Amino acid sequence: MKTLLKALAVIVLSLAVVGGVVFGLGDDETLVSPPEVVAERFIDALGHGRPGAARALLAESAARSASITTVTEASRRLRSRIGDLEHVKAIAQNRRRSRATVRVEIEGSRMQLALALPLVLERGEWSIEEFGGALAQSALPPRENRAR
Amino acid sequence: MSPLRIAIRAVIAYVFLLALLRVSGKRLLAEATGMQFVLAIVVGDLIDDALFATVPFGQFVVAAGTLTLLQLVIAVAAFHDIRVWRLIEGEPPTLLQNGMPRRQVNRQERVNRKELASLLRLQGISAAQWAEIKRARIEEGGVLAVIRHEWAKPAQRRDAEFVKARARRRGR
Repeated sequence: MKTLLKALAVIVLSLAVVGGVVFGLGDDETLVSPPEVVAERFIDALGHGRPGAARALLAESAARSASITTVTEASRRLRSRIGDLEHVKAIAQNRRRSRATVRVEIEGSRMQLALALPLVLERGEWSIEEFGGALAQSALPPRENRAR
Repeated sequence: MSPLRIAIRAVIAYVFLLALLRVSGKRLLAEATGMQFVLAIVVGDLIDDALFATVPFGQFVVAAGTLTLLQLVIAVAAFHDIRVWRLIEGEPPTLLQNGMPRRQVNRQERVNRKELASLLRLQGISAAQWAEIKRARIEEGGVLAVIRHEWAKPAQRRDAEFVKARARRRGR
């Protein structure tokens, strides 16, 4: 019983330290997933048809306006455009205190896309602020037209 | 991703796991049972996610901590109640009894005669010595434990004392 309490104390203490660093010291990259990782996970979830996982990465305001049906539809549209998702690479472009814009390059079996996703730091986590407009963009031409 | 941030995460993950293992006892991730082996692999995968920030560090602490706590609860329950231990670990299967392989058990455990012979050879027991074995069974860690018949055990000090005493009695 003593062992259980000690283990529980280690977990609670560790969570307190993480919470202190994230909320107290304002860490936004070391103990939380950086915005580019969140953007990659979001596109990965959409590209592999996991709308639930994608919706979990949305900011509060975006999640309120986007139902699971909306995200499912976005996922279907993205997959019909790019084909099978092969590779996702995200690079943070603009970064201010609690906002960031990430350029995401998506490589699919049919074509490549580059999107700019806005993210917001909410409750110690980066989340996608808006995605509908971003998914409508296509900064890179189709793969067959690109010089390799 | 910045190498410095990866290093910071690695140090924090190391300290967290070290503290958790120190308070949980040495057997927790010792690969002693199938479940402990699985737990070691799962925690290893979780560390990977934490180091490269695929998940926030707090989620890693919650996931690794919950699994460790669960394993501890089961270990404590199994320590206090043999029925829980049997439920979790199951009875160690006896592959060979009184020198005879137990076909039904060996089939269940998918150990054929050659494998059994090989496992026993690793214990220094040749096929000619099988008759000396009272029981050979697979313990939780997957190790074959062999118990010999009393008459087959190597001579010990008390045996020598017994022989000496008998010789003395005869000499009188």
